[in-house]
Amino acid sequence: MWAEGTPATGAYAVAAYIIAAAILLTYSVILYRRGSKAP
Amino acid sequence: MTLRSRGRWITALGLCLLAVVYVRAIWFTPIEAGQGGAQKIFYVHVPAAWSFFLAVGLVGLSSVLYLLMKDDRFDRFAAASAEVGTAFGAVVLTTGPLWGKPIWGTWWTWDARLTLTLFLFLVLVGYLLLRGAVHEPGVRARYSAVLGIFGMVLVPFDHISVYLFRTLHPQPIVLKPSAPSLPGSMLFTLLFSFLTFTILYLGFVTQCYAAAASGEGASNVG
Repeated sequence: MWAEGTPATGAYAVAAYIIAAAILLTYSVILYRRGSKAP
Repeated sequence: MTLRSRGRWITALGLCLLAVVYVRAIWFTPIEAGQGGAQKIFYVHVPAAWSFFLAVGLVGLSSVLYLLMKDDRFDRFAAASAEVGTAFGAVVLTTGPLWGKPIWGTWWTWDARLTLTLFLFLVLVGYLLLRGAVHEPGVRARYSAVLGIFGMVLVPFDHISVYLFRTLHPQPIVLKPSAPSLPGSMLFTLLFSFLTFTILYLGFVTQCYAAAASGEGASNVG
């Protein structure tokens, strides 16, 4: 999977994926709750 | 089906597709030899930037239509799109530095593309603050429409800033005049992610608009 000499920078990608998912999921929950309060 | 539940279903679809994007990007897309795993940030960062620009563009377009027709629905849509745009802007501005650190050796640099994108994000934040500060609906809609149009005008300038200025930021590899310069498997993952982030934008903006239309969240969205 990893070619010889490929930089080991995967941890940055993992962090980015977690942060992106956290932002989008949190915003989804905020919108869901806001919609639930609406008449 | 109400607008609110339609928005929820579209958002749920978008979140499921986002999980598919993650699986495909992590396990089924080759690792770029020069950058290593950090290159995979690209599959989230670039589509989030697309949704961010789409949101800002539609804020401006709705603002123009509001000023022409004085229809509150355009103002409400612009407000919803601005709020959703800040969420995507937050994704862009957090994932970008996480790519920059291993590849450039720095989290941030004040070059044209990065600075303009941050400025555009702050314009959206200012747009939302303005709406919260002005209580008279007609005045609020008119003032925020002007700011929304200003944001829209910045979008193409931000996109072509990598050509206009000497910048560290890579040039576009898909949204450019010539053919995309990516291997097929990487291009497929990227295009699938573009579709996913567009669906997420639609789901978010539909929910946000529906909440504003029903009167709830009026203090935030208008």
